[in-house]
Amino acid sequence: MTVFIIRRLLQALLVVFMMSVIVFFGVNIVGDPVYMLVSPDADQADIEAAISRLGLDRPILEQYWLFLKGAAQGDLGDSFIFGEPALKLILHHMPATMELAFSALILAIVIGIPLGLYAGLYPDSRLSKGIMAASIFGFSLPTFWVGLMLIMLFAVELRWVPATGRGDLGSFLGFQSSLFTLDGLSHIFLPALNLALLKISLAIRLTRAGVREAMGLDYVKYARAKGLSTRRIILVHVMKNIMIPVVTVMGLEFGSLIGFSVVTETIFAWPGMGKLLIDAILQLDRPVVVAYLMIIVLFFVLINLIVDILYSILDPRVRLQDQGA
Amino acid sequence: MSAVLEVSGLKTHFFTHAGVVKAVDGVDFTVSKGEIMGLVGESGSGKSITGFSILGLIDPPGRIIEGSIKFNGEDIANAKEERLQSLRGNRISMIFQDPMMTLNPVLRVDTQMIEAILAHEPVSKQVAWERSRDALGLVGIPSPEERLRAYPHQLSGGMRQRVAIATAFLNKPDLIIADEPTTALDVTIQAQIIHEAQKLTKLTGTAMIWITHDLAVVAGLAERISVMYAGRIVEQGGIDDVIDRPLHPYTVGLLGSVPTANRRGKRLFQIEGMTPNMLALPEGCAFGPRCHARTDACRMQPSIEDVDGRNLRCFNPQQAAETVK
Amino acid sequence: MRKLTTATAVAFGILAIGAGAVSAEKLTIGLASEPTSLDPHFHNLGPNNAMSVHIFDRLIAQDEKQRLSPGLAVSWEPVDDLTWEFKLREGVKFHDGSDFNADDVVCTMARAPDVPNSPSGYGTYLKGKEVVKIDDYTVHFKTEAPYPLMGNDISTIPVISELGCDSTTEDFNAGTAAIGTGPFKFQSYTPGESIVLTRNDDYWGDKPVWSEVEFRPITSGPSRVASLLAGDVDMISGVPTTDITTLKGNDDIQLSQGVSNRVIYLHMDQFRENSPFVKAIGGGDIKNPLMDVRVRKAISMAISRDAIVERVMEGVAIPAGQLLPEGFFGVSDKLDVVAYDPEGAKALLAEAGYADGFEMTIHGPNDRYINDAKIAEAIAQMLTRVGIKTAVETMPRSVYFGRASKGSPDGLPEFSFILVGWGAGSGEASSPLKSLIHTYDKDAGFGSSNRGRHSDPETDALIEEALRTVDDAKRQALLAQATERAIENVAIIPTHFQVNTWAAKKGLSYVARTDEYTLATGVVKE
Repeated sequence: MTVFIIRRLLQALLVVFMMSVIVFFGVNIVGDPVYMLVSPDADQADIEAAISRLGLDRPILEQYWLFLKGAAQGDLGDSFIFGEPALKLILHHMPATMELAFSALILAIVIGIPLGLYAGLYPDSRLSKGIMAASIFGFSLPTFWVGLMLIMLFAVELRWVPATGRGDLGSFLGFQSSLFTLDGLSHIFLPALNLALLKISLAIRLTRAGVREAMGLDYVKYARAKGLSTRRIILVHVMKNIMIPVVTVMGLEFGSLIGFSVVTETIFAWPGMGKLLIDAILQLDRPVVVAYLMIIVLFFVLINLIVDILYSILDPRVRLQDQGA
Repeated sequence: MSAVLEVSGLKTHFFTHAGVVKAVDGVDFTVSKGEIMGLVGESGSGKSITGFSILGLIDPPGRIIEGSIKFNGEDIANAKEERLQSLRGNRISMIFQDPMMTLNPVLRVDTQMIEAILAHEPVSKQVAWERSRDALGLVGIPSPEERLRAYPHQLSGGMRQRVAIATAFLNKPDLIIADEPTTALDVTIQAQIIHEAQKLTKLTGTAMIWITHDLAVVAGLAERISVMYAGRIVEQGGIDDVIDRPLHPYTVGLLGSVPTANRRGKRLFQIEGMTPNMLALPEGCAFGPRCHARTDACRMQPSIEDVDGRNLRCFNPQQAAETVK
Repeated sequence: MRKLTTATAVAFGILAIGAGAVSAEKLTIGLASEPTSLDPHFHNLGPNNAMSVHIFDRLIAQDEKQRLSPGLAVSWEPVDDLTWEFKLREGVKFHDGSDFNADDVVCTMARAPDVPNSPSGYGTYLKGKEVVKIDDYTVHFKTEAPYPLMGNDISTIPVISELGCDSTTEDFNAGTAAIGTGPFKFQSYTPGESIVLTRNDDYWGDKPVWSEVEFRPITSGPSRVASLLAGDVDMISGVPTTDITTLKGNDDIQLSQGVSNRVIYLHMDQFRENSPFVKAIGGGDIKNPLMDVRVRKAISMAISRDAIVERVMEGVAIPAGQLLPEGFFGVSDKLDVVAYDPEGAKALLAEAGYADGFEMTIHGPNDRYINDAKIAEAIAQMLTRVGIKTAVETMPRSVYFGRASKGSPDGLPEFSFILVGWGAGSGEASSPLKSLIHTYDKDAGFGSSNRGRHSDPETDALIEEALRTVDDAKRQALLAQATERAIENVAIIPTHFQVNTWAAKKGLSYVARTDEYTLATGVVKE
């Protein structure tokens, strides 16, 4: 197991390195950051001064080499726009995004799996048909539109929750989070729901498919022949089997929740990393884009690793690569 | 000897889109306490369905439409699910054909054995564990404690089937239905399993229905035999009687196609024709199209008659016995 | 027991009323763009400048029409051709209680152009100027040539204390260095979330009505409007044009609009015989028609500015005939908006030898100016109607500006016909004239945004002379003249001036500003 983990981490470093190359040179191809930054009042001399101040007059390979040197010491460069270290900016915005991603995942699990279970066990009931139809909406309606609709309904019309922004922070066990205050919960409710809708639909369909498949398998019939209660058959025998694909997919989706909740964060003015990323891309703030993507890649690799380990725990037939039989 | 199971006029039909499949169409037999009855027939003859019908494990589009199943005097053909659940695995157990499919791959062996006990008896986990270990010992599994901690895929085929057998005996049922338990195993293992089963039934006084397509298996094991064809029993009687002097052309054919030492060199006998299409059974005797001894009378459906001390469904028994030799 | 609780209740009640009496007026504003830093010298960017006005005063203040008035300087006069004397206001204190004097001014002017990591600082405004302290409340600004725009330039520089001069951008963002003399004090800054300011009760000028102001950046237009409708914020800036009609009909919302100093215009390639995106009908090569003033004039006539204002901008714009709207310094009273005359345009084209028209591509950004992509499309349609088959290509500004300025293979402007905007930061006409109309002269710093490379020596001469003329009336005339020549020669084609819209809950209105800033001091109760 340790060898497996070490190997994975080494692979991670390789991927992160490659990502940095692609992004670094890619951003350069998109456009010139200078024109995004300098005031239009500036004359030619000022523009050139800005270019040399940002180090953009050096050959691109030299710029990349300087970046690598800094990266090895933990310095991923300073944001062109904010002047602060890119890493610091990202870490500052990270808790907000983690809160949101985590809440969305919990919603997806708590709402999606039970609904999918019901739809799988009683596929012909009206409620099941309703659930499946609703799950299609979850896939096809654009997040942007749904988010705005949620705001219009719950915040503007009903005035139950605020429209945008993050709420007050509370402390618990040394952690600060807006999840620990009532105000914070009222602020996170709509964006978490918005983000979760797609995941809920996914969970519903995955769970239902898993249940439908499992119910027809011999081990279920055998369990019934042993006289086990339906409850035990479903909650122990069936669930443990279908959790495998569900955990795998939800784990990977969690990665995208962390890295790319851009639309939801923008609509709800949620001060997270996703919004930081899109602004950085639009304004060609290369250091932030590079640093961000490197961090997200690391996250993805880590999540993949955890999912693989979980998989091997859930399904005893699976042995992680490098382990003996 | 008292009858543990009395099946009369059992009809289990499947109402599919393509038509009605009369999988079991009027089956009668009795199993006495401690008796082993062989239920023999080819694929599609309805023998497995008979077994499932007894336990009430027929799922839509199938349904028991007629008949009675008296278990220890109680008719359970239309019993409520709760009653059936309390009987299954407790007073009537089932052993399935392929334990790789029937044992849940993600649960340990001990979990799957202990739950069979706990579903019916409020004992402690420790006691259940000990009983499971003892049961494994009884079926000839060495180091049962280790086997208990294992997962199904870590055991060999024969080992798994022994586990299944041990599980079936756990609650000391009155009747065990074994559905082709050795079909998926090597010949040598087969013999061992059959031996274990025989030993246990003698030990515990459990009655058994051994379902198989292989006459050879049942020959040295059962006391009585029922031969099924196209959903009906065509010949039924004491094992020695039927094997030495088969009366029904189908039984004759079955016996004739068993390769034995005294047939060396001669061509193997084959029953002509194909297994019947259950959606389009012929008029009259279902075996008619393939029967050497067919006469005009066979255009009518024969009913069960008592011929020579056994039950027979045929108009032309005597002639059949001779044509084969 | 009961007596005690009643007494406590009464006590709390009195406290509550008492607290209310000390006018705790809180204002929450939803901003369309977030400042990138609280360091007032870090980045010369609209949102940053607007935020810094709250905390830091300038020597000279700009009102909502960008007219100059005394700020931390009570007077500024030229004492000779090369020197301006600024007399500073006495008795002003910084938020930390220290006194404001000339030392603060000197160090401010030294720091402003030179903040580390600054993407774009204030060097432009302080170039060639030397600051000398004369006494505690007098400073001199010296230049090498007469500099009439001293006031305009100096009005852009926020004044920080000597403490601030020693601090880094991070210190400002953390709040420890955000000490100014302004009407509001720094309270808290959570990037991406909120900036909270509290009233400076010792302010030397008009005390703000609001005891506390919270700015919340909400960059998505629809979300911003929704926040206002939901009551999360009291006011928002940057109301999308599509929402204006609906909000107008809403009794709970009050709109405030005002023209901005931003003109939207078209630049044309006037320096290449073979322009990359201009072709003859059918695709063959053609001598660049945009170099002929008649063609340029025809294009200007072919554009219906009214249609752009009414239909594309939904009424939220003003047709433009020159570089700045009425009322600004340097505006000519002789120029009208060019009338829409498609027949006349066709005739002119024929006269210039292009009766069959030609093919062209218009380039523009799609996320920089209000409705920019739609404007480009409308213009392309109008031009096609008079025979100039125009294709449209818009792109994000991150791609656009680099290419527009030097995207061609030899580092020159890449496009032939572009839609672009210009906001006159200084509030007067020399800004656009200098950067857009004057011949491109890198060393002298002229024509930095003259992407069409228009060049007319007489216009140049007028502009340069105006920049040396200290007498206001004379300078106004020169600037107007230069503008008239530029329009006559169709150096650029202005289409319209942007109008900015703010929306607030009923009972509040905003004094709209031409510099597009959103200031808490401009929010008034009705």
